Amino acid sequence: MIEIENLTKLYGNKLAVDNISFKVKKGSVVGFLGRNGAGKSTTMNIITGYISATSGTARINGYDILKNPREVKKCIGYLPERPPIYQEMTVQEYLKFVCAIKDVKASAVSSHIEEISNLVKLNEVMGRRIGNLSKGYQQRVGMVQALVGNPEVLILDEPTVGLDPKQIIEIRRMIKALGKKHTIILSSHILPEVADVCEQVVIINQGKIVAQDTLANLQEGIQESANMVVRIAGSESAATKQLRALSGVKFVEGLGVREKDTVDILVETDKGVDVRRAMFNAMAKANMPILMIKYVDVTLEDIFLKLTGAEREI
Amino acid sequence: MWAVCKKEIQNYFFSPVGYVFIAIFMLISAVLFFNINLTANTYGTGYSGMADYSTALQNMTIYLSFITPVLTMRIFAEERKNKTDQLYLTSPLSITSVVLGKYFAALTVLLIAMVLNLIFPIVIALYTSSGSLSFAMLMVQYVGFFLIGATFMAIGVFVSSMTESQVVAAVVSFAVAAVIWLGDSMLTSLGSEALTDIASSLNMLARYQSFADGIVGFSPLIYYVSISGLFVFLTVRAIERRRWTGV
Ligand SMILES: Nc1ncnc2c1ncn2[C@@H]1O[C@H](COP(=O)(O)OP(=O)(O)OP(=O)(O)O)[C@@H](O)[C@H]1O
Ligand SMILES: [Mg+2]
Repeated sequence: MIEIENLTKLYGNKLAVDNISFKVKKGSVVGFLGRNGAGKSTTMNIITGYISATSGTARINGYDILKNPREVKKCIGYLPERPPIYQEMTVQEYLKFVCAIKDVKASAVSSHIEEISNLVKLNEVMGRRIGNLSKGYQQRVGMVQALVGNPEVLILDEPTVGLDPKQIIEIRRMIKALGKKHTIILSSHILPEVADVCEQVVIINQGKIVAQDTLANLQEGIQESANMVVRIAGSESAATKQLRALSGVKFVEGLGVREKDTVDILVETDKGVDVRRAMFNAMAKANMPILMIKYVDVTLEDIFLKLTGAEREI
Repeated sequence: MWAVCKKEIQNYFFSPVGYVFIAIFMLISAVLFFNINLTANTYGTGYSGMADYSTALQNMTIYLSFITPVLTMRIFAEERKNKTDQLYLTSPLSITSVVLGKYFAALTVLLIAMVLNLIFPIVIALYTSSGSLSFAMLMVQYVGFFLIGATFMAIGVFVSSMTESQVVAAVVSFAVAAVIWLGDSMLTSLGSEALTDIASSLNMLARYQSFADGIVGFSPLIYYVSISGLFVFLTVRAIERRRWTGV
């Protein structure tokens, strides 16, 4: 349904999106995950036709956004990072205007507005000026705006940013409900949000896609290994060398000094393999006593942070 | 297109902008009317007690060019700054229909101001002997006046599409108007033939003369319409271009 192929965007000579490709199947809810400045909004702006890519294509239902912009735009509802609302209009006036520019039949306008504003519980504020509404309600007005004309595809750029926790939960619930009828791409820099509402995740970092899979697969990947942090009296280089030599150990990484004359080390093993005894013996023999062993749970968050190159905190 | 036009007109009157434009317009017309048509003294203007509105209207064209930025400065700059342009640029609307919708909205406000302005010739007609004011001639003068206004509006719309700042848009539009009015005499005074040609192609006031004389000249008409069309086209291109560069 949505096909992104080798999309690249340069702002002057700043590479914002670097040759990314992904596909979204009809009816799925995809989380587009990345830290600030990763290129999420840029990609979404290209898919919706707000800006043009430097190279590459974006197609929806087989229509290319550059060659058939009208066809593509007709089947997309877009909630940009900043909802495109006019402060001085009332909600009702604004939605009528959006209906008019999105080719909603004049005779159907009032019933359509009522129907979609019901979905996001906007009915009580229809007559109020948008500028006087709270941030949460303004965001909802942005959401309804995306729903005008019942587009097949919804593109939502960080729909919960800047809202209070209660509003966040409500907006997420609305998105989940909408996911039953629409194909949705939702961007976020918060992993739990994506884990909560999406089936599939695309992780983007510095303009490149670093992972794309179903949430289930990503989670399974995590469960294949176990991590522990060990504190050892001795130098980092000697300790990591000893640990790497143990069978069953997949990955070893120094975490720095937390206590004088010791070093903390992250040890990753296959799931179900217990290396503690072998490790104890080896380190005792090398005269580098183990002072602490702590198992740590690896979460999706860790994977995300690892993929996007942020510091791990354990 | 009409949806955009309607929304923009509403917008002019939700905010003070539309009223401010009309108020300034009427104030200047009133002052000119007083100086040119009412008083017996010539002051510095060289006119006095004229029983004819054409001189006042002709003088008004210059002021008009300097107050059009009131209507045009925010027309694209503000939407770009607030990112509300994302709404219509991702809707099935074409950029051309957005630009035309907004342009026609600004022209509508100008028309409203012009209708109110009719009060002055009506006053003249009421207080002078019949026949000294020709209705047909007056209408021709208003057509010419509207065309000059439409041309400056198109330039203002284009300038607004080039920036995010309303202030920059207003200042640049002012400068363009000044160059158009003053550039002609400056270039001509330099004496070169080529420059004189350029000067006369810039000279909007000269083309107004035939309207002032009560004639709808074909070539001045084409001149104003094509310059307006050119700037509307350039506006569409400027918005289109920014989608590629993103800046
Ligand atoms: N108009 C622009 N001109 C120049 N650089 C830009 C422009 N827009 C975005 N960028 C740069 O491109 C990169 C990607 O920006 P983008 O807005 O797509 O990130 P994002 O993933 O949406 O981030 P955020 O989570 O902060 O919204 C950033 O480094 C940003 O500074
Ligand atoms: Mg963003």
